Amino acid sequence: MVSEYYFDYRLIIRVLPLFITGLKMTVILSACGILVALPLGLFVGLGRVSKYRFFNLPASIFMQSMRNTPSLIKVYLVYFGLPYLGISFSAFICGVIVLSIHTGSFMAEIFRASIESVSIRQMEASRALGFGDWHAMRFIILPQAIARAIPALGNEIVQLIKNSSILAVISVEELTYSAIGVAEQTGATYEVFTVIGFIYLFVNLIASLIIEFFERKLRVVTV
Amino acid sequence: MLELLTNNLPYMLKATIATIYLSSGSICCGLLIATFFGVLSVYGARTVRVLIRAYVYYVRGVPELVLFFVVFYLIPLLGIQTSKFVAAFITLSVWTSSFMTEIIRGAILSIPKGQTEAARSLGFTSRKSAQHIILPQTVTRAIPPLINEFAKVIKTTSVASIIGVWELTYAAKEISEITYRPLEIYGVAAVVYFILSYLVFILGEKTARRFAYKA
Repeated sequence: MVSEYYFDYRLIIRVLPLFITGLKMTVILSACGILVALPLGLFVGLGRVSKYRFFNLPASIFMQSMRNTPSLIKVYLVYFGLPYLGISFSAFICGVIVLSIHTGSFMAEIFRASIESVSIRQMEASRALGFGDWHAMRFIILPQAIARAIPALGNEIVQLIKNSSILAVISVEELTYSAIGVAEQTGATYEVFTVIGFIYLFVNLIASLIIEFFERKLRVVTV
Repeated sequence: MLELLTNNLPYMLKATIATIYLSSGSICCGLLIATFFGVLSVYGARTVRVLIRAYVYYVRGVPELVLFFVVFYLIPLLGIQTSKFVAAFITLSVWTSSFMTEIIRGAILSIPKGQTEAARSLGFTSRKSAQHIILPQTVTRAIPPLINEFAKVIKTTSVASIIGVWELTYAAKEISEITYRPLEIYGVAAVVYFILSYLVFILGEKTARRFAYKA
């Protein structure tokens, strides 16, 4: 038995401005998250390949503990837990923190793998030519490693954009939050969430196009 | 602090078991769907392949939370009455099956084409060459990424708490709202998730070693 139901597209047109405000927030939130996550991931990744225990150990602990806990729990911990220690953030800042540490931990592993994928001979050659450890890493290894990391980083960026939806639970006014609001007021839950799904698909499509552009631009021609 | 933990630990333990049920159920179901879809997306008819690609692209491109809402409201529209737990189970199975389909498709495609050609020239039919030559090898290659996927499912069950499924995150929320000790309670929940996810990796590595073939 299928209940009487039809897709109410006029409602969607009416609430579209609301979705666009939400979409703006989602884009700003994800952009901030990515901007923090990329350097964070790079530093933790560099820490993981470091031979000094002083860098290696904290980086490993950070990476393992952040990768293996759900982002929702981290949102609750930062937003509801930290104020008890006297540290409190606005919902937006809290969102950026959680998104960036969650994605940053995954990116760290990607950076580590791509640094290790650059042949050890290159490091040896540049050391023989008189580069210091850090200079060899900075000018020889990293440019190649980053070019190799980009496709995998792109996956993580798409993941971050999708992950931003759970910040609706701490009332960051992003796309999913506006969708939940509209759905509760109009009762047209199915329409609203289907359309929201396609908006996310669209955003992710644009994100992957941008990443592909960088991938082509930074491609290293290897002999 | 200690009293808080001893008072609430049994409740959280029960919730952990709910989380384990939910995640293991949807891992099994998702893997079952993904095996069919993964094989079909390589060997199936053209229409089937296109349909599976569309399914994978949609489910992979949509946030988990939105997918939860879609499935949660879609099921009653089809005239079926289910509990929230079953709805969450269906959502997670659908969600993870899309990622696993891609993994299995990738594993099948990673086997060199020469093997199929060799099998065909030795007189295997295309079905037999897939069944006896290609697919047994994909198992080894698919296991490591699948284990990542299993761990991801465990973490994603926490999102189900937003639509009101009673599992670990939901229980932690309940307790922290009663006791006003969110830091400790969510901390414990995070540790439990960490242990579960880590256990999957350890078990996974053992399985991977068992399935690895000796050359």
